[in-house]
Amino acid sequence: MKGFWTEIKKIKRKWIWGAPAGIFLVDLAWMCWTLSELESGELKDGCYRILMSLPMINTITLPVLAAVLASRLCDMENKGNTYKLLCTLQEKGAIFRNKFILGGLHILVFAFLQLSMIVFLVWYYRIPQELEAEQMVYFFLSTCATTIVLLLLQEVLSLMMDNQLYPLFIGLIGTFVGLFSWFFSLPLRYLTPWGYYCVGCTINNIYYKETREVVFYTVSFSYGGFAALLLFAAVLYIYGKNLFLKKEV
Amino acid sequence: MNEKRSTEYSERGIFGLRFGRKDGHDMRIAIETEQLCKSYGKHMCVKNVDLRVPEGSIYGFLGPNGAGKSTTMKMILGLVNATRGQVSVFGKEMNRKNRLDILKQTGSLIESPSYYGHLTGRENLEIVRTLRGADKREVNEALKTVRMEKQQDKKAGAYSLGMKQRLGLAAALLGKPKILLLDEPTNGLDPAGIQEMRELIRSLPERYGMTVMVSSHLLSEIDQMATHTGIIHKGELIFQDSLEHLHEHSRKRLLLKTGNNEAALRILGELGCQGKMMEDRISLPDMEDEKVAFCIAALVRQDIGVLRVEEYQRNLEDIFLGLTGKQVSL
Repeated sequence: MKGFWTEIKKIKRKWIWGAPAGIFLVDLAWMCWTLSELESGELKDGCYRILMSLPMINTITLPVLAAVLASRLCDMENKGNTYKLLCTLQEKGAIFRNKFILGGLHILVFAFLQLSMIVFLVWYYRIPQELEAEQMVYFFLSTCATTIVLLLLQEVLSLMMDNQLYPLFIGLIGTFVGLFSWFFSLPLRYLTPWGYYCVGCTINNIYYKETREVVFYTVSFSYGGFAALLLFAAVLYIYGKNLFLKKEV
Repeated sequence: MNEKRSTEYSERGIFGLRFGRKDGHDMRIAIETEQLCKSYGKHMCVKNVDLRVPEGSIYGFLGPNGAGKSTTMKMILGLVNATRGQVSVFGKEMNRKNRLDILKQTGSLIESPSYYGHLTGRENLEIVRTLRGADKREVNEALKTVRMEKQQDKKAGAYSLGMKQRLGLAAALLGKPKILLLDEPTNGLDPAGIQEMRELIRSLPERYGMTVMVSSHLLSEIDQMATHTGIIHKGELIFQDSLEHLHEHSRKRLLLKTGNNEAALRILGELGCQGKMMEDRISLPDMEDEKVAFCIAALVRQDIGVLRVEEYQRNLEDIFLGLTGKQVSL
């Protein structure tokens, strides 16, 4: 616990929460703009529209958030040459773990804020459709799990690289990979961690050309995909931690 | 549990000498390394280093840049894995499991100081204090020791290099460690800062009963601070003993040039003056004037012409150069 508290003390004045807060505001503005463009008739399946739009927006914004968060948490050690000191005071593995937990907590708070945002949007735009708790849970799980795995990946990169531009660049590339994954066929979506916002999305739509109508419907949650993601996270955690342990300071 | 090893220094040191007190009692060893090696690929940067740092001493770890000082110190702290060899602290062999327990009694400042630039000096120390589990009052004590009370609320990023070094030293002092490892602590300091840091380091064994291992590439610095010294060159420990003994090497000698040095050396030996050849001269230990006159008269009686009699005293720089064969910053 001592190590975790010092990790919290370290981020004083770092404005770490600025990145999630900023991205949350961007998401809110984006959703407000999307919903205000809709005609009143289209709001009848407004909840499904929100639950499908948000994962798409998250595909663009959250890999960047994960990269920025990880970089901000790790770079202060690189800048201040502090590993040499820290590694004489605590287990190296604890540094890795505490940074991951702290970053993960930020993601968790962000995901809760997004849930509150959905409730707010449904209330504010007077969406007649009932907000299904089950779909909210799937959305929350998918957002949290995917972003936390990306955070882990970015943390490993940030800890291993002194120049933080590279991990940030990889985060940006991930955004594009994730975005393209929405157009991939199903098995391909499972191949990159950035594509799991799409894998975890339980809302789909179909466009009828004749009537020029979009119909939203639910699909079952991909438990297999979720399990694959968790497995990938476990392997990445062990591998990343070992890499960091082997790195000489 | 690790085997408790003998910590009494009893082995013969390099140059056949021992670390011993004047009263004849051997000193307890704080840090001991055995055949410590580190290689990066094919390059061996530390070779079979056997350090013996006596308890309560200021051990000056001297060597030119790139000699392997920092790597050795990092291996002692477990920051770099040794390719081969063993490190013991107060007789306990260090391994992965007990490393942190052993390091609880060790403070360190390796290469450049470690700090969080966005935090104040005090906040930086609070982080170290929390991790060390030290008493809150120790932060004030450490700040006072390094004379940084007035700057404690300034962000560390805005500190000068000297202040950062002092902050690093304050952090190393937290938890009242028994051993302090300082790697080139005066690097980048101005002359006044160097003097201040030197005095501070010199006072630590007496004030806190600490053992200090301090590395430097400056011979004069070690000469002014240390009680014991180890000289490392190209990864090899080429000298290790008390500084007093290093100074013994700089004692006066007489150099004698004669018409027949070999015969002169033999005759002098018969007279009880054991000398040795040094290039074209005979080197003799310093002796009284009367004895010098007696030796010269004896040589002349044997028809050996005395061409030159010189007094010679090596300074520490000469000794260092002789050991390393390399010009060093002085």
